[in-house]
Amino acid sequence: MKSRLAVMFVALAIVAALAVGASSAAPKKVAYIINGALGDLSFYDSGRAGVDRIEKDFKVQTRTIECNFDPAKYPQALQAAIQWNADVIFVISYGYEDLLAQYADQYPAKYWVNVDTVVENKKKTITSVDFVEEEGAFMAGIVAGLVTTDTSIRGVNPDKIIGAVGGEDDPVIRSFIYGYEQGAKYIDKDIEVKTVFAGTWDDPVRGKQAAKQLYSQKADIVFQIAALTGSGVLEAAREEGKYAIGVDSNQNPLQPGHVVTSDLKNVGDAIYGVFKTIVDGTYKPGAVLEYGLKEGGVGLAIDEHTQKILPAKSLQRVLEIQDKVKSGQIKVKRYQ
Amino acid sequence: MHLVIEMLRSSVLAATPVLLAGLGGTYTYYANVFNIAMEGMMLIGAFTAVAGSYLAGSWVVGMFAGVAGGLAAALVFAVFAVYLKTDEFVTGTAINMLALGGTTYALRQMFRVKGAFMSPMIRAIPRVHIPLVGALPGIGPAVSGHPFLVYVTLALAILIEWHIYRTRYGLRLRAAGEDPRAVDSVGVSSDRIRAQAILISGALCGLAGVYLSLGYVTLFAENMSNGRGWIALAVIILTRGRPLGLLTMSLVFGFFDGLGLSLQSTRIPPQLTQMVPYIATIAALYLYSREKRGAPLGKVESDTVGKDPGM
Repeated sequence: MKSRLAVMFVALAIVAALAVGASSAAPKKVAYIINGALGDLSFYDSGRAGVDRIEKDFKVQTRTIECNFDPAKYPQALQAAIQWNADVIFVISYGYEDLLAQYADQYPAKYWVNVDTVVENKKKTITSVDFVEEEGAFMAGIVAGLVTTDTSIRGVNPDKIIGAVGGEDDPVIRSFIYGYEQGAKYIDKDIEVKTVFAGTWDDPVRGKQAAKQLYSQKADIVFQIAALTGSGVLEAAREEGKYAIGVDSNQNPLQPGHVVTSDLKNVGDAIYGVFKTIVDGTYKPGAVLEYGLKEGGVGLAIDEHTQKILPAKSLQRVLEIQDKVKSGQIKVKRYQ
Repeated sequence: MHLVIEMLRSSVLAATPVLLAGLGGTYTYYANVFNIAMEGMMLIGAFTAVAGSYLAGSWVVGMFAGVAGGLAAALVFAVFAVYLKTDEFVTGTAINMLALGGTTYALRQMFRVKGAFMSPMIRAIPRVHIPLVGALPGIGPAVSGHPFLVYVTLALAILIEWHIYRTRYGLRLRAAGEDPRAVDSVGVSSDRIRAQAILISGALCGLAGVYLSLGYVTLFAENMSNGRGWIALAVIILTRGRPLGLLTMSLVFGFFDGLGLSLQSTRIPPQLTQMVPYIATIAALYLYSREKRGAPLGKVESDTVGKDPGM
């Protein structure tokens, strides 16, 4: 009986030691906490796809905790991940960065990976995945520029005007627009970019209204950076016989023939990549990982829908410019 | 120039759902039912419309399904608020929450999507091109080519003005709101009239939902009513339930809604331009109430018919 107890104590001690020195054990539970909700057909869903791949390839348990943009749920979500005993916690932490830093300090043994922004805690254990939005948006601007200057494409008018519909006015959306403008100006300095903020992320009716205003001001193509609101932008493009650019995941097939390309943010690939470094031991806590065009963190979705709209010559040009950005020949300026 | 036409177009389009829901709410306003469930009825209508249109491949089915959805929500509201005498505010809040959670859940269960449901299988309601007017430069594109529900709504506004002020039913409705015991004493059930008013508002809010999900856009998104039911409530209170006043105020609201977006091309920050429709509403409320205070007494009397008798 006594020896059995001793064995149990030893076992417990080992478990405790493992828990403290987290890096010594392979993670078994992965939590994915998002400030919003799944189902945006883009950003959050893309992250979820990465988590699903982790579950399949590494045979770990995963769990997604949604906050539905409800600030009261932010601490609950973090607490839930801790109570569930997650080893690795991926967090999309808009609006509760400070809270995340507190939790990370309180539970330093966990792997904390913050996605899409940079968060630093006192103990420097949070690793941040930072997407270079400007590079992806730059490529979207290249495509938009090539469309609006090419009147041989059906429905394109001679005015060199392009548009963008943002959800709300925040630094991430500003970064997108900043890159988008640089891309368009790279094609032709005279291109004018008109921007509208719908003021909401989940109202397609308002998105459509905003896009229609832009089309009525002679924009040939509108870049949607507005989550669910943006689905209305894509519909406006179809109705007006004009063009749109999707965002975050491949939205080209949503309105075939009218969505030229999509500016992807490969949240899933980034999450998968970081998890891999945790498993193979190359993970660096507290690092800021930049995912740009070269790293595959951002990029354009070019498929048969793109080929149907964009002439082969223009498509060729897009790929050439993409290579130049990847090799560093073209430097895209960052917003902040 | 094109922007001006587009703005006129979009004010009509943005006004329609608010007006439809508002017309429904007029009935409950006069029946003295505090109907805050319009938002939820609209959302349920938007969902059942898309579901019906998608499953049957027909916009007619979609439209009836949308109205039925609004009616079903109204039935629940009527049973609780009128027959079980629960608090209208609490019941309405419950219906709004049920609508949001319920449609989101049903969306995920039925169509296996979250967020937004888009499909070429969803049939939109047809658009009407007015033959002669549509050809006019300027006005033509602004008034022609809208989903036909837009024109139905305009006709309904006039019809309902007549129904409430010029028919026996309208008189009973207003009386049931003013003094239910008086109505009961002459052998007409005031509860019945109140329940009918709620059902009519449910059907019209359902139709507003149909317009949103099969007219303005052809998709369903979670919480797509996005406060339009609340705006309708505000407009009703603002105009004291006069259908033609509702028509004007909804158009004004629709116009300022679009103006808020287009003002962003100036140097005004978007955070400020987004306030435009709401500032306009407050300004209208101020002007309206000032006019009321200055009005001769006789006029006030005829306009306060629908007011809460208990107040």
